[in-house]
Amino acid sequence: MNFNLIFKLYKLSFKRVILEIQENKLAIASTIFMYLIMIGVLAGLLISLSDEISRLRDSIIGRNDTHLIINASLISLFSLDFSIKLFGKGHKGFNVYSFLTLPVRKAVLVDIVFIKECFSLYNLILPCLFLPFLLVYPYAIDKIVCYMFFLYTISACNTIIARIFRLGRKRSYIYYLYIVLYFLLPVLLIPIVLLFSYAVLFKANIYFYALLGVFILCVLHRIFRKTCIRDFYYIDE
Amino acid sequence: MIKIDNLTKYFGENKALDIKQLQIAEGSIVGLVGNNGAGKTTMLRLILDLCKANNGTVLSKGKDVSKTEDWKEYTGSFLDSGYLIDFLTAEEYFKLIAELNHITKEDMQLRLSRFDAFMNGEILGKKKLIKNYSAGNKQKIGIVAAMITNPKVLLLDEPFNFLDPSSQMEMLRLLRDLNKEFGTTMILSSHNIELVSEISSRIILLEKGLVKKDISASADEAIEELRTYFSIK
Repeated sequence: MNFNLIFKLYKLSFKRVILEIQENKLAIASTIFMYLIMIGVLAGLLISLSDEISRLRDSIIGRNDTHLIINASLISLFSLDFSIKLFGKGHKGFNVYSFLTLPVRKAVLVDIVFIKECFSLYNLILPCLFLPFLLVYPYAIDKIVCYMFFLYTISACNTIIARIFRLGRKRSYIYYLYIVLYFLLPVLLIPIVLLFSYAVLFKANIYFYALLGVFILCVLHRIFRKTCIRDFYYIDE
Repeated sequence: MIKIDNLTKYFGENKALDIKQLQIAEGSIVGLVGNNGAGKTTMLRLILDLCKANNGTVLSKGKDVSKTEDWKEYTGSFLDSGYLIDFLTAEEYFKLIAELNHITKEDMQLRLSRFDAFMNGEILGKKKLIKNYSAGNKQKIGIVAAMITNPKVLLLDEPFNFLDPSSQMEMLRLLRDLNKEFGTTMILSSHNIELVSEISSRIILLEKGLVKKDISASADEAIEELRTYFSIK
């Protein structure tokens, strides 16, 4: 019951602070600027993959490997996305600390924050930026959906880790999470490149990647829950 | 009701609180006094598990507050307006408190009517968000929300701040009624030694995180002793 109640409040807080957010033009401008940089990087990448340049590059470095380039750009783009979420102006409307003295369990608060961060529309920005690539190159729709879902889960991980950083008092563990995620990313992405190259394996395994995204989120939820509940204290200590 | 054992809290190198042993009996009203930085708020925060102790434990009804959250069911508190859910209106906030504490709508209305004089027509029906109220009215909203559940334990930090004299007197009456009717154990921190002595059966004087005096005397004697202590300083 408490869960539904607090969940409704979370949604209400977004509605009520929207005016304040609109007033904070500097924060909005800086966030848009960061995302424009991201779009610029992607646009550059798209141009580099155009026929003329591809031919030129192929003549210099060999075979045109679109997926290798797309995936290679992911780590820097995810890092940029993480920086925006970490240092950008966060949503201040829902202050979870207000609930610490009320009869609401910390676990409920942590779960609500986790769920809201998972389904945040911000997580759609990054996967959507890749949509032109996936539409330009003739991949099957299920592959596109699975790939985008994987990108979405990584973007959600970014949001959650950034949120843990803001929530927790003892923040040292956040660095470990960050390192684990970003070491994991190339390990996950390299097989994706291989899978794109070997079409037979690709179809079956791209579903596996979508499931892997869910698995990463589940693991992250366990870590998030445990660490946040343990270190969930009023922030101005 | 509340037992503190070897409780220490450091902020960096500074020792904010160091209490060897302290027991607060059920139904007692304890006043916490001391200068700025004495550790009053830190003590309340540790009792409410809002910060982590470096050492020691706080037991509420025999259970460690950092290990269980059961104490939240019978504990009311108001430390400052930062703990209010300020994107709600006062009515919505009280409704939330009612829902969290399983209080029916009718019962809530009845309970709120007890605070009519205290709220003085400045809180309810104003159709504005809590963040847009004055400091005094935010204080009133927080105090009403803490008391309206008829808690077994009530912790208030500087409850007389921002309140006009009439509201301060009304609050004393409300606190006495709550203590008498429900046997509520209260811990009130304050700089106002007259008001806190008038309501409290016991005064704990903190100085640089240490318990300097533990006074169980009549209000006049307690005020005299505190005045002497602070004037000597």
